[in-house]
Amino acid sequence: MKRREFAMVGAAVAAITALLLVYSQTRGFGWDEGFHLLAARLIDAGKRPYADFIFAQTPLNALWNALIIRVTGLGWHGPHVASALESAATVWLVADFVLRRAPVPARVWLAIAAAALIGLNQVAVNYATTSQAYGLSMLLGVAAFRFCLEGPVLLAGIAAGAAASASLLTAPLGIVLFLWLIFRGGVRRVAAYVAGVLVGLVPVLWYLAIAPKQFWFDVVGFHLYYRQVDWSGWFLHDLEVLTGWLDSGQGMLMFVLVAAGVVMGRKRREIALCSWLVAAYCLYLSTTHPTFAQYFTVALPFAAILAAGCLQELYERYPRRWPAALVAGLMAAMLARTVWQQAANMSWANLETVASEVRRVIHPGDKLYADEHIYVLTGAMPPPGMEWGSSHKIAMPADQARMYHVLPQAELDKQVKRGDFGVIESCDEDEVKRLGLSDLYGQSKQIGDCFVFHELKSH
Amino acid sequence: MNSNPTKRDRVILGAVCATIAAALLVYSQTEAFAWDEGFHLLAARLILAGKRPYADFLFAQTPLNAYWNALIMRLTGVGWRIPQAMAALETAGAVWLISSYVLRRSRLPVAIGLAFLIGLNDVVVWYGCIPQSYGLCMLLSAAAFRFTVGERALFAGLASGAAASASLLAAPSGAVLFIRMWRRPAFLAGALLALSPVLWALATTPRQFVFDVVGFHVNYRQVQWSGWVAHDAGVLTSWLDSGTGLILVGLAIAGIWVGRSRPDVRLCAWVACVASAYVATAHPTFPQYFTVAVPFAAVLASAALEKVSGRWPAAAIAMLMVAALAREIWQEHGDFSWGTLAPVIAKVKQVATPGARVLADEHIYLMAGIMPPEGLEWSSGHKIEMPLDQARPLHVLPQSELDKQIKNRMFDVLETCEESDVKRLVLRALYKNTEQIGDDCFVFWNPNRP
Repeated sequence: MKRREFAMVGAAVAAITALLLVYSQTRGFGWDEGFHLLAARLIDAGKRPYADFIFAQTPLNALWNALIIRVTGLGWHGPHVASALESAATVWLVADFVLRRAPVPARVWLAIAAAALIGLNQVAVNYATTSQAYGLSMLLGVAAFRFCLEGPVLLAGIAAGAAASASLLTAPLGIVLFLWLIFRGGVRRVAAYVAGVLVGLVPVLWYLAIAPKQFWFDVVGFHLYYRQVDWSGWFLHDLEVLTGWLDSGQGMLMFVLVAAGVVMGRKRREIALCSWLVAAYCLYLSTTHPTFAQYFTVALPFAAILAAGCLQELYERYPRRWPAALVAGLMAAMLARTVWQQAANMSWANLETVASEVRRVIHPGDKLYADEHIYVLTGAMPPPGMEWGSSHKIAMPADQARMYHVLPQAELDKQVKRGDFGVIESCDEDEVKRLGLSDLYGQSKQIGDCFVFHELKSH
Repeated sequence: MNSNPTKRDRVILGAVCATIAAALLVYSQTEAFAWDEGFHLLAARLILAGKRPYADFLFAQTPLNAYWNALIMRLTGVGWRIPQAMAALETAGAVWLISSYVLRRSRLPVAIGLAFLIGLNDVVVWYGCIPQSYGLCMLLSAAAFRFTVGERALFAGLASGAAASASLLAAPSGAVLFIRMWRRPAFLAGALLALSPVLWALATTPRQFVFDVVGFHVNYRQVQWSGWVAHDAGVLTSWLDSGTGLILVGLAIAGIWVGRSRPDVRLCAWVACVASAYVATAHPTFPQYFTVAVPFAAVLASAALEKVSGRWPAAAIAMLMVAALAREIWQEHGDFSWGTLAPVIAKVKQVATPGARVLADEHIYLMAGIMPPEGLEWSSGHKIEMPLDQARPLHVLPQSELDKQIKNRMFDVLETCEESDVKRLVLRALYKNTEQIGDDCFVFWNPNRP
């Protein structure tokens, strides 16, 4: 491998890294990252997920964010930088993999195209630069894949286990690699892989041991029994998500390249493994009702390798470099258009204004009802049961709810109407109307889509 | 060049085109609707009633499509269904002309893939099934191209001229074909013959024609469109965020490259580029304007598809186009349509007594059988603000004057689907009776006259 080729691909990955970093610090925002960051904040404060608060995810990403917050201070900037770098590292691992395996004359452009297909994917840029588990899951997933093919498999197991510890979305990875090793490897390799998986799963096993009932309810029970509550239209929603690629330039480009890559490169070992991984991921992720486009980012590195496989086969039949360059250029143009079109979407900057208002009006000792982001930005600790807004939809008897740290909506409504909260912040106008907050509080302020209420009238 | 396709190939391609035509027909009778088609149909209705565009009412389009719709209405009655069915058939005709040309040059799978690529393109389907001039322009442009490559200059000129007479959007295509045929006077003769509706209007009402067809677009088109730069940038890059748009544009660009030695590809490349560049300068521009370039882009795409052996690429394109269109129709289902307007039309008919002065959207005039008062033939014409002595001969009623008439309660019945107008003009205070129909439309009657 020539140094110049490494430098060219490195420069492309560095440019993508810079872009991801800038995006993560300016536009990177996902509504759901609020509870991920709040969970990290609670862990940093000595609380334990599952045992002390409800947390419907596997724990590694929250523990990782807690470590980052410990080092960089409470806030979203540090975790976003980490996520952007994790995504950039994924891009590098995939580009390097393609660079090492593609035919010499075209390999630089094939590697750059693969890098662009991940690093400039609009869904990945939107979500894998936030503090949710997408960046970490992609990185661990592709590391597991490379270790599985290139060894040592113990590390493949550790990475696959860690990926599942970061997000259950990556669960199929460990299973497919396990089956791959059973059919393609010896007993020793399988044993080493399983040992590695167990090491990677240590955070999961630890919390399963110390709070088995709560862990089981949060990570499995919630998704089985409560996930679809308040989502009566999940079937149509899911159908829309699963066919969304038909109405997206990047989605269509990726689909065509991946489908052609599966067919054209099926005799190559890495293409076969990637095909199984992508198929397993897509099948699994389409059964999580409701599903979302961002869930599929965990399959993106493998899809990019398949797409690069298609471009490689195309090069072997039609030896020109421009198709790969065109793919990279198109990905950049499509991303630029999306970022421009989404410039007015909600971001952390909007919420910082809301948090400033909360800080201004709250008195010492006031109980705060707020979105998770506001707890993080203001440094206020959420009252028990308020650690995750979506958990209020779990309706269950009070004794069970207490054990699982759940505050059902009916009970929360009672607390609001009783005037338990000195300050209420909400970015849900329907909720504001439903609870009649304007009648309960003497002072209010609307900031963009969000509202801050204070000065209880009864007081 | 496969200059002699087998009968079997022709039958199969014909069956594919017939299936696409059937799909377009069904769509045209159920979901197809565009707000702007109202004034096209109303113009046809006015022509049918003996009025002349430009001379008797404001009409910012070249006239052939309006005359064509008027002829259809003369034969089949006033309404939207038959003009929409005709538009669907015109679009299907364009699909057949282009795909059968490709069949003569290439293989059956390429021709079939291409028929799906253009016939099920979402913008082609949305706008090729309504009585605006997109279907007619695509058909005439495709015909002009085939006559040009077949060296039949007179017919090529006729089709090019007719396309420009149907819509100025098609004029650049005709200009490029004219340059290609400049040694053939028959082309010019045919074009002039087909442009006779335009030339007649220009001769009989020069001032109004030039104002309507040129002056309006140059001076008034951007009024009330302050954000047109961002809007146009969004439209011009929209293919990047559309799966089917990306396939068509991507294949067309690849076709220019791989087929650059072919004269027909070079011709189509010029026409598609010139037509797209011209349409891009129409501020504000819209995706449907680019349908005039679709037949030529399709020939370019075929040059790229020809390079891929086997049947699966064409089959994949067909499946992708079907799936993408099905998704689009599913997502758009429930949007505004002629069905939404039916209760509004019924209400206006119920409350408008004979001789009542009615202010309504163009669709309502058409379907309620009410002739619009002078100056109300085209609602977008109200944004032309000019002194009344200038406005009168141009059949323009400026918004400020219309507002005065509304506030003076000069309309017995007022229908609008603009809630902002209801608030701006405080219409509820002006009329004794109001009914909101659906989410968007309102009918007011019984004005509170002093």
